[in-house]
Amino acid sequence: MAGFTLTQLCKSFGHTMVLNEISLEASDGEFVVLLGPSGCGKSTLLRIIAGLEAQSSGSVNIGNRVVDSLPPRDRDIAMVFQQYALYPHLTVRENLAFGLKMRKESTAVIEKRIGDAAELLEIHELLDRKPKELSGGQRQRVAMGRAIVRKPKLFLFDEPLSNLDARLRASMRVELKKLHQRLGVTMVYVTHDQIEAMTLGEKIVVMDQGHILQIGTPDQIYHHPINPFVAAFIGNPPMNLIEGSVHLEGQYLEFHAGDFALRLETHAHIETAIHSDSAVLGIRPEDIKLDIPSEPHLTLSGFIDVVENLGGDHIVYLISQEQHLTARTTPNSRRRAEDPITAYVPLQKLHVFVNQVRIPLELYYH
Amino acid sequence: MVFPALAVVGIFSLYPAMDSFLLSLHRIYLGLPSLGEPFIGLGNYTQLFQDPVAHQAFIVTLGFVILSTTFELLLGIGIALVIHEHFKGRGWVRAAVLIPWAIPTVVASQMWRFMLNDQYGLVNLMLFGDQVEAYVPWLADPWMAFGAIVLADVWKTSSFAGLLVLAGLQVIPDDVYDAARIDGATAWQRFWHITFPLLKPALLTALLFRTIDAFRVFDLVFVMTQGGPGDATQVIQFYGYKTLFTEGRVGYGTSISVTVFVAILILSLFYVRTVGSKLLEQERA
Amino acid sequence: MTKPLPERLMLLVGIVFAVLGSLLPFIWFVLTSLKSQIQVEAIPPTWWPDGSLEFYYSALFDHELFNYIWNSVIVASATTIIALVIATPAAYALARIRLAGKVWVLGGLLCVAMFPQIVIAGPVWQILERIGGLNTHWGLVLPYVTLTLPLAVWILATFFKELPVELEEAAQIDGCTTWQALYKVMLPLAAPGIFTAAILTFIYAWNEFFFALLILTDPAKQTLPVGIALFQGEFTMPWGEIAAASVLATLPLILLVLLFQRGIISGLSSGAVKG
Repeated sequence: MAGFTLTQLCKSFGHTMVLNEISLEASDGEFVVLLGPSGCGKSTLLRIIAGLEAQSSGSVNIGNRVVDSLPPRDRDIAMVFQQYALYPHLTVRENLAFGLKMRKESTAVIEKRIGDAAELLEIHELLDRKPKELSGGQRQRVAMGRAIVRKPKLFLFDEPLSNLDARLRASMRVELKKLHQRLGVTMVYVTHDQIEAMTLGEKIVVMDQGHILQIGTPDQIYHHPINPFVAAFIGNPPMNLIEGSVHLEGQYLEFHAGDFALRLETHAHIETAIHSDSAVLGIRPEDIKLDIPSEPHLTLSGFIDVVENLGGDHIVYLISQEQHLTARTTPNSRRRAEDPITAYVPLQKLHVFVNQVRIPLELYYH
Repeated sequence: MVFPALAVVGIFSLYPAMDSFLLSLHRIYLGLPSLGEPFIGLGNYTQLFQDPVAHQAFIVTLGFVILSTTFELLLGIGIALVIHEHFKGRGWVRAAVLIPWAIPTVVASQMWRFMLNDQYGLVNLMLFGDQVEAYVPWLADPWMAFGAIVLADVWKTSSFAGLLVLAGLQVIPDDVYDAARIDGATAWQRFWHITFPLLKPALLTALLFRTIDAFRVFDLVFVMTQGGPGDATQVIQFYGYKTLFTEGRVGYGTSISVTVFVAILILSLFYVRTVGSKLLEQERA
Repeated sequence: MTKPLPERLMLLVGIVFAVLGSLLPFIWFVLTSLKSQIQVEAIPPTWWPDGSLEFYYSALFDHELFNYIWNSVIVASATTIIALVIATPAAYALARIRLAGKVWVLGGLLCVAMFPQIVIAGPVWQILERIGGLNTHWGLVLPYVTLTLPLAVWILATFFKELPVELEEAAQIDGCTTWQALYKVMLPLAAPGIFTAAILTFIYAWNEFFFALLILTDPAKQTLPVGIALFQGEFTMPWGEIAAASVLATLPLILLVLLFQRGIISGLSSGAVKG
């Protein structure tokens, strides 16, 4: 087992840059999630780590060994593919044994490893079937089993849950997490699903257009997104983002977006004034309260557009000063469309981005 | 990995084709080596354009191509529609339809020659029964003989055309038909307004495959009529064969074959442009 | 859902026509081959044979049909094996690797498949004469391999294209070299495609007439189609023997069609669907 280090990886297909100076470090046993929209380069990055694709420049180091010139089979990795890639002409048992046979393990070792993996994944009764006789969830387990028996230094997952239905996906997510806890091995997991990223990742790497935007724990990514893109990508319903202009000077912060105006007094003192017409104010839906909070807050008045009842939660779409906002609140059956409403946002929950970069407001406001 | 295949094709197809072109610019008589092999430029081609037998052969070939492909396509659509349906024993019907395609052309030719035989033929038996005096010697009449090779070709290759059309039918999704049923279309309307337009690419493919192949007809003529009676069924490839290998007029014979080749090449390019460019799009997608 | 009666009737008529039309001439030949000499020469012809096997005996022994059959078996088998050994790697490369001129190679192969035989016949004859290939089986196999390669490559390339690349990558991660991945994972999966290509190649070589006629002039070397085309009697056409020989020449093909109808259909139409 080992961590890995990526140093300034670049990849281009012809003139298109798909990965730009990717540097990343993961420690032994860490669960790293590569998160981003499709086409952001996350799968290419995973395939470069696997050795299925060659980088244009930069270096991959797995377990303190530079593997750039090694083919996939010598990198001591295992990979779970999106379509599982089970060998259709082999039984489950033969599928599990294939990688071990290639490495010339003894029959006893192979039997033992298959037995252990089958027990771990509860696939004993499937061992003699062919892949086409398995359900989606079962194939998923076998694909994982094929990775587990190899006892690799590094597990790679390429959107492994995207072909399962919602219920199965949720339960496989939990199993994957358990698996990671039991095996304690380094895993790299590619997904575009922010829920998978939040629930599985110890380290989330948010990517877009071949760049790493932010690396952090799920909490860091969620509570301190580095730019509006990350802010919008994580969280459901997504963060409310209001585009406008900002003026920061002395102890004042002013934000304008049409009729919408916000004026704050900060505790810190800003030496150089900042003025920008490209500012974004972000508010997470769950931070819009309908009861007056005790801490300092911002008050928004307006009316209800639509209410969605999710059972445990209500999603309230409201319009305040011509801004459409989404709030996630506790259920209240008396709310109706068109009703006037007053909402409150604790000041320390506001996110301010200037020129696409987060301004750490908490420094100013106490 | 592609190299061995390209090498083989190069040596035994591309090189001979080019060599043929060179030969066609010379006057060569196999039986008269003393004449040498003088270069005569396009002389063979000028001769070819004035050769009434060659004209006749081109016309016969063209007529054969047009008639046989038309019938093959029509029958092919019919066959495809039948074997596309779901019914018990469909596998057997499909196999039965494939048999004419699988039979060697030489065998099929002998078979039709016998079918059309003036005394022992099944066709006469079925048409005239016991009235032996009404029996027709089909292959002795120029027009009938021409019809006979068309008939034999249609019998032999309609099922191949049918398979190409079937491939087109199979990619039409079922729900389109369900939607049309709900919209109240009759079986004929469904065929004419849905199947036929969606089938066009497959029909084009079948049409070109069959056209190109019909241009090369040889076995049927060799066995059934030897080009006769007169020159009524002398198709171009048979005429080329005769000049080249029976008469040994190598230069003139190859000029005939090169002309056929150019005609087919134009058709092939047309095929690659229309169908091949779609393949290219798929590669990029 | 059952279809309305008129549609079912039309289908039934269609089936009957297709099957009868396809089989009738051949059945007539089969019946003829089982007749006796007297029956064959009856005018008007009789329908039902008396089940005599005399024509089979005479075709096999008096006309040395065994010899022709054996020649055809050798030529067709050799063509099939050689063509597939060459076509398989080529098709794999064309299906998998991003090559600049790939479409042109495939299109070009298709063009070659369309060459009229007569265009290449003369020079091929000369080449064979130079290397001593006339009147030999290998001399016939060479052009056959060339002529069947395009179709085999097309069928196989279509087949390889449908096999997921992921499988190969999984094999590489599991410890295979590129060759092992090809040979342990891809080849077993491509087996049905290879088999289909093999059958079609075999049928082509079994049936080919033009080159066989040109290259093999020695009756001892000739293949079945040449034998059947040049069948001569002393005074009249020996129709009974021709019918018997034809039935024997066609029997293996009918067997192939009955057994592998599905593969043949998908193989023949593979180029068309993709296009």
